[in-house]
Amino acid sequence: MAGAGAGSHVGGLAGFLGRRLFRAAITVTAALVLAFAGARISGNPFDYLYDDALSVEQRAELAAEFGLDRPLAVQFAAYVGEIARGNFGRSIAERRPVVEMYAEAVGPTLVLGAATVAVTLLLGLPLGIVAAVRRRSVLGAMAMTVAFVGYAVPHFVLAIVLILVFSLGLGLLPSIGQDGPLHYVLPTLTLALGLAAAVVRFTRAELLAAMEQDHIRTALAKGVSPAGVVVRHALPAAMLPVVTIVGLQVNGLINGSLIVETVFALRGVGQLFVGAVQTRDYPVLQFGVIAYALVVVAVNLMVDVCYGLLDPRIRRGG
Amino acid sequence: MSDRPNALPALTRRGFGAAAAATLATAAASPALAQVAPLRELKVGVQSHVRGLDMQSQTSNAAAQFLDTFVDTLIEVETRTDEAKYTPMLATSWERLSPTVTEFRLRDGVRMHDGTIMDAHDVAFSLNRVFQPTDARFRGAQGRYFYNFERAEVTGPMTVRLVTRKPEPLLEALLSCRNAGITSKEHVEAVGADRAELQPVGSGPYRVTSFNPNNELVVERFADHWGPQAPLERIRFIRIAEMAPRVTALLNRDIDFAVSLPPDQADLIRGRRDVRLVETTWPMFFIYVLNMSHPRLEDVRVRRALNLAIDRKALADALWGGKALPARGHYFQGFGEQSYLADLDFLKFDPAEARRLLKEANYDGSEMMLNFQPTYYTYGDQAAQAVLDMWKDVGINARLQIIDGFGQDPSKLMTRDWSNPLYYPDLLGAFDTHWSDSSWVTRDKYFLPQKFPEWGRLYEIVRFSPDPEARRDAYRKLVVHAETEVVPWILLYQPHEAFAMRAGIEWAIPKNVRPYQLTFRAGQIRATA
Amino acid sequence: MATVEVPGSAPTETVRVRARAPIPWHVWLAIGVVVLLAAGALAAPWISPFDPDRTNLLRRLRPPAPLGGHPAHWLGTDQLGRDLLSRSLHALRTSVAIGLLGCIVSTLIGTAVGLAAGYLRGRVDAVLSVIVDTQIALPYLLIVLVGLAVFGTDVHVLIPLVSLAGWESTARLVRGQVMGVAAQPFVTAAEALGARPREILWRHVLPHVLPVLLVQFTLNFPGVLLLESSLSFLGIGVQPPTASLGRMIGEGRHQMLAGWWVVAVPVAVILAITLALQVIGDWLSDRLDVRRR
Repeated sequence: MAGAGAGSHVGGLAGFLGRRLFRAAITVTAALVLAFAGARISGNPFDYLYDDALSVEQRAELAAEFGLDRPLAVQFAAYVGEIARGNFGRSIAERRPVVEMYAEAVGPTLVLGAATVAVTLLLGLPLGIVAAVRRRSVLGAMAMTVAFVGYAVPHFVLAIVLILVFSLGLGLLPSIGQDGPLHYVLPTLTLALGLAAAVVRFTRAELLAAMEQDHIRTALAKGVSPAGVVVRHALPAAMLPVVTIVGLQVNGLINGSLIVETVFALRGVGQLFVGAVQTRDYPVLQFGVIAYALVVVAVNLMVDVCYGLLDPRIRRGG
Repeated sequence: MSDRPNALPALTRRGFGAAAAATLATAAASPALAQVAPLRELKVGVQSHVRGLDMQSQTSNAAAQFLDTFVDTLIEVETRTDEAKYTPMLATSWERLSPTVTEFRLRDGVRMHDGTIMDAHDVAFSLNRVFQPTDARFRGAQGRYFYNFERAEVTGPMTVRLVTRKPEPLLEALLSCRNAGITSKEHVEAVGADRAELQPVGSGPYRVTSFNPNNELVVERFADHWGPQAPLERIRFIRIAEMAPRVTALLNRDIDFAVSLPPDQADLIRGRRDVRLVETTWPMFFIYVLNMSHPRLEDVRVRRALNLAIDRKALADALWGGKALPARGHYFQGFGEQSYLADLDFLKFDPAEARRLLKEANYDGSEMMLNFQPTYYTYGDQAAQAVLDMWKDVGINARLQIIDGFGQDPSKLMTRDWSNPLYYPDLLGAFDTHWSDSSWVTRDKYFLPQKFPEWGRLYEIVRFSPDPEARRDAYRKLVVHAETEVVPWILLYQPHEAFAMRAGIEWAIPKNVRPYQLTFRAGQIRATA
Repeated sequence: MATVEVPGSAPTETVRVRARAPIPWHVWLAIGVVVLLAAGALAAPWISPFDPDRTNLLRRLRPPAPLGGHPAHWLGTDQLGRDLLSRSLHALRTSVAIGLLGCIVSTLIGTAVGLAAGYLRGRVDAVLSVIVDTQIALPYLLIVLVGLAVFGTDVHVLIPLVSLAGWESTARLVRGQVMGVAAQPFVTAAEALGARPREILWRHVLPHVLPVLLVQFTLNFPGVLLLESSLSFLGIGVQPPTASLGRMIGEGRHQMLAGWWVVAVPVAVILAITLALQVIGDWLSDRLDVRRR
């Protein structure tokens, strides 16, 4: 429990942060080890390299070239040593530095991710509020239904339907590519519709809970309009959990963005990583796992810090 | 120009070529058309892309789409005549000094994309990488095309001698393939082989200006090209793997040109005024390789039964709108060199005969696996599921099994799906690149030609005889032998695909080059904005 | 694992059964849909008019019978002429089996971990939290691929793999709930009376957590169905010719213009399950006053 005084609060926060950082470090280390092991258990990159398959000699040559003929322990030591020096190796399929490949792909992914989060909140919060305030009304039910149609339709179906409607049917938006802001509209919508559904649910649930609380009941009893209560009292309380949910959806976002990138021909990180998984391109795969772990850990840390800063009454377990 | 240039699939390549050539000629003469501004950038939506662009290491159908734009070879093949005509390209002349030695006189002043001038060292360097491969990545091209080539020797600043092991009747055909392209020795040595895969240098009319592996390739007009200037300023090849978005992108004008549309997708846009379709039934088979080393496939009668149980016409009708051609033997219908085989048909749907053969072979109901890759070939997954039922119908206990990766232990697989495209315009253009002794099917013991002395005898004649009549005669016997006594494969059909493009673009499927090669050189495309 | 709870969420009122209100009609409808679909899935082998995997190339891409298709195929046929009704019923069976078993296993694992971490705290909590953190920090796709590579691409392999997709969020949730319940007077009283931890967990804590789990389950289940469909988009997951909802959608997506029903039928089934479960879940959570997170 955090202490009551301001001084102990700061101390508590520092200790809390220290513990979180320590745990984050353990997590990233575990990801580092599992990336190496997982890659090697899942298969051999030379099984996927050329469609004519490879002769035994060719395999041996390639294994030697990429250092995969050495004992696993030696490979692992080299892997850790190189990463410590900031060298993540080069792709087996493309024969170029892994970092270069990710650097090329990260731009569109960041744009798509940021736009998705923004649209998710813009769609999800208002719908969630409507669903909570008018919970028994047709409008509330409709808000929930719209949200869930977006959630329940698989990404690739939604993507193709959006293309057929907005590009082919109405001719409003480009269907593929990444040449300008308009090109990101449909991919963003595809991802955001599903995520917004989760936000709607959580906003609604948090708002309903917040409105059960005594001070809000009091406000309602005093005759403050429900909408005013929601905006002034309930919404701020509900925001944190909702933002957390969005933050924790990175996993879903990355899985979804792969499909979206494929359908809309965007050159992002999702395709790169899944391509590497499918062709067992160890270095690309390992970097992807480590980078992914870092992002997830960082997002979690930020969420925790936000909590710590915004809500001093917080309890800290662990 | 008709939107449906080839109503008769079998006539596709020939019939259409003439029509397109005529149109290009008309367009050139028409003042109205000449005044329209030419298209500056052509955006091409492709189904599959490549991870490297080295002209000698990339032998896939995907790479074949791109190589012609920036790669020149010693010898060129005429793409608009029915008959393959070989003409000088980077070599101005060549002469056989002995049955196994040919000397090439190189073109002077050919500027390469790295600014250097092409000379004999570039040629010897490029070709020796494949003739005497020390790098695993060049083994594929060697096995497919160049196993009979021993070495390339520099004999003067602008002369090169190529030495073959046996006299090579296919010399011109092989050397005109883009996989025999010439790169800059200086460039590869300066940047290393790995970088050269990503920043390839050739001497073609376009040069590579940007390459994002597996996603996008941009080539731009190379002003110092030795030959006629490229008709387009820039071409962007963008991967749009999904079919519906690719079609939409074209209709939406996000791209100008879409490749690899099967008939059911092409039908959706057929008849639209703003889009032109150019269609073809490829000289290419979709096939299953039968693993002859597998104990359950040892008996030729079983392999034959697996073939006869398949209703190829039903497959062609269902999956390809009736436009794919059911295979009749390993020869291509509608392709000049092989049309003399058109009376041969060994692959009629004959379930009764299949049952009889199985009985005769004492087939005991043991499980037959159809191993295939679900996403590699267009509609390959659907074909496999349909074939499965056809096998079950003749009493075969069949099961589907996915292949994950190409390098799986062959002894565990009974079949593998594959395509056999005609790589160059010769009797053997699809055969030798896939079924020679240096092919992986032989190396991995799917195919056991050593068990069939007759195969080797006939093959030697077809491959190396200087007498065209003898070759044709032997090839006919080989086709018969293959389907009746050897049966190393299940040929399904020749797929039918469409290229779709904006109405302002005039382009014809080139002849005499391998399927999927996109030709955008001078005189091969006319595009107005 | 998020170790943070907002005070307002401390489940002092986790379960507070309200005055019995009649079940509204739309919840009845949702229950009806779920029962109907469940019955269809269970009875698929007996009520399907056709063999679900049997191709019939002469009858491909027939629209649903009411729209002028072949009268024998009520919902039409797919690109290989397979009966969509039969295929959907069997797909439902496959997908629901994978989803249900996967969800149950993941709920069990998550609950066990959450109970242990939340009640025992200390080192146990620390170790379990690191495991949860690591699971969250690994791309799910990698876990699935490694699993399929090691154990083969069988449906029986998919179930445990799918169950790995959600256990960590359940664990988080349960842990938070347990910590709240553990601080309650009746629990401290039981402890003071010398009840063993196992007993306390079983008698006092679990009953308070169950409603939350139930709601969580209605959320997780559709997620798992969708997961199965994106795996089949990537060519992994349920293998042909076996029908699953994901496979049907993945295979039919090229025909969306030429034969929309091939995709629409399985999508409608997923939508129906998802919506029905949402309605039931929302109603349950309102009625049980469960706060979901």
